[in-house]
Amino acid sequence: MTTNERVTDDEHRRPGIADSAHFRDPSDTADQRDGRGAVDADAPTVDAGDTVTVEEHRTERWYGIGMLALLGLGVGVLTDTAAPLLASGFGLAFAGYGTVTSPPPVDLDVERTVADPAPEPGDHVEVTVTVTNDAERTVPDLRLIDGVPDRLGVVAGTPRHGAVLGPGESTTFDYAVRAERGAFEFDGLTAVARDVSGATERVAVVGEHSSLRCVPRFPTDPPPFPLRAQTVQHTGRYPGDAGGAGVEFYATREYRRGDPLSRVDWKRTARTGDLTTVDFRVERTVRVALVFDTRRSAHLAPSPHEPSAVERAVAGGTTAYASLTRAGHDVGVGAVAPDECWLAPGRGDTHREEARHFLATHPALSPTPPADDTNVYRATQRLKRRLTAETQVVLFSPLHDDLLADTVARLDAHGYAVVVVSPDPTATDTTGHLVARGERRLRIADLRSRNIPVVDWHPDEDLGHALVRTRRRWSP
Amino acid sequence: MNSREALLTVGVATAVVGIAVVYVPVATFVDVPSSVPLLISAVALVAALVRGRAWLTHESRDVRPAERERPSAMGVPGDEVDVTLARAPPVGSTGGRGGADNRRIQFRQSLRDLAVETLVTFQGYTTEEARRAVDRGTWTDDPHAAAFFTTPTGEARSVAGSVRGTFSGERPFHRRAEHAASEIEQLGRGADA
Repeated sequence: MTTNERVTDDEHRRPGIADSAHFRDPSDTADQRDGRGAVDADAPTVDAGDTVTVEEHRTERWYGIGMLALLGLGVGVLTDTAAPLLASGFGLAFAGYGTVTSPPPVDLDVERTVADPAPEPGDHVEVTVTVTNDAERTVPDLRLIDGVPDRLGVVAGTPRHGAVLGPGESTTFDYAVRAERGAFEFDGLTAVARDVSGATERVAVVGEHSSLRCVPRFPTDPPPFPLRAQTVQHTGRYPGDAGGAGVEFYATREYRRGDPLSRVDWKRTARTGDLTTVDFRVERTVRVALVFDTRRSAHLAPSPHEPSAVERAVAGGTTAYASLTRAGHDVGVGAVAPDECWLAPGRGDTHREEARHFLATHPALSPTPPADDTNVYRATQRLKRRLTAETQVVLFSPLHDDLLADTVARLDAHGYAVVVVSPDPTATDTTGHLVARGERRLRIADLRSRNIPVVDWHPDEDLGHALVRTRRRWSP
Repeated sequence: MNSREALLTVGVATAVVGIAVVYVPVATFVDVPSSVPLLISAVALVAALVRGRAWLTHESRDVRPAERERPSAMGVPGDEVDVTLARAPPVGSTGGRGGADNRRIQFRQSLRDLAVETLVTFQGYTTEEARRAVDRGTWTDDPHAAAFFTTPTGEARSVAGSVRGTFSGERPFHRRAEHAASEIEQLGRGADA
């Protein structure tokens, strides 16, 4: 086993109860997580205006009638009775019709209008879909399901519609979705067309590209975000642990040649006759990297339809960015994710705007779980290459497994000052949930025992409150 | 005309001729052997049986449109433990007993480790004291939670318990596991207050 293999997310974890191999069945979790059905799971990517038939088959809903008809035929002939024989004729006619018919063609033109393609989080965005039958045959039973992006919930109307469409006829339906942070692409519209008897059906996906991009604003009054004691010598606004130039009184000391005259305590000199220099608390700029654990396994929540730990982490990171840059620090963004994700530390209006869009729309920070596992070793190495020795790391992770907790401990051991903000995704509804909560608590306790500050951020509180609660026990 | 349609046409035509031969006196120009109706009847009944079997065993192929109304569901930490626990058969059930016992023993051992670590981390026990407390059942006031670690597989060993489990579907292992997990969770409460 190579080093890389040893730390691949979801595949190789230290066996806790919730993690242990004999209690894990990936398919179970996948089934539970996928609240959406299978029709669109393998749906192809379809260009706008194109129609791709995914499936064409017989529904077999007339099997029962066919059986009864044959039974009537057999009994009628055997007993020389006319009634069952004639009755079987009707059944055979129905079954025969279903056998010879084919599903109607699907040649649809779809036009989707998104009322506000750049909404604020929480806005209700109306979506209107107009479907026109471009085929030369009537579709007697047409069911439509619009391709709402995975992470958007429908809050009004329904993305489903049924219609009978003659050649050239159109039908329109609308619904509204609740905007969430991120860049979303609508999938193609799925159409299910059946013949009159419903014996055959054709499933097709009709391409129509629409997007919705929701970029939250930074909070105007973010809570102070604590960092760890800093030893690096860049003048800035972080109160360091040494005296020098600054604004806050730190200490007095005997005058040394070269001290600026402006820092000489003349009153004391007049009183005692000794030259005394005033030291102020030196304020320093800190480089901070906000790093998000966005592995597939980190997309967890206390209940299936609450915001995930990743979603809360990025919201918290947005607040942290606003708070830290307001305090004069350089702030960057990274992720422990399958793919590279890095925004170099900086500040100022341009960097702020860049960070706002980066946090909202970078694929690695998406609210949708990534398809691939994350090689944590490789992701950490990538990150370490980006971090300078004096960069503080604020890691956002639900700490749902030992892998990230071990990585934090290793970063700390290598001299990086790490603060962990952990959105709590655990619940107490079942035995398994209780076990997972107990294990997470132990991980937090273990990190704290190494003097690594951990902000345990409960689902029902805002980040500011969690920071205040944590600072009671932690002095940076 | 495709083969399916051709076959249907032949079938319908044959049926019409057959019915005419049997029921229309004018059409009795052919002397039909008495075995022919019997043969037709047998073929129809066999076909009905085949069709009926297919009807009973086939799964509906109607397309179930995907749910699009709600955001895709997130997992909850520990779901996989619950899935595995749900698969463990009740006490006294037959089939795969050895494997089920193994899974239960492994789970119990893992939960025991968690209990010990929790007692050490949050209650100030030494590792040895914690192990002793768990094995003796003195770590909690909850008798169900205590009993989970005091029997080799964490479940009732009495005959009455096994019989009750067999007939009622009651799952003492699961109930005790839930109590134990709940007690462990409570021991760690307040750690982050």
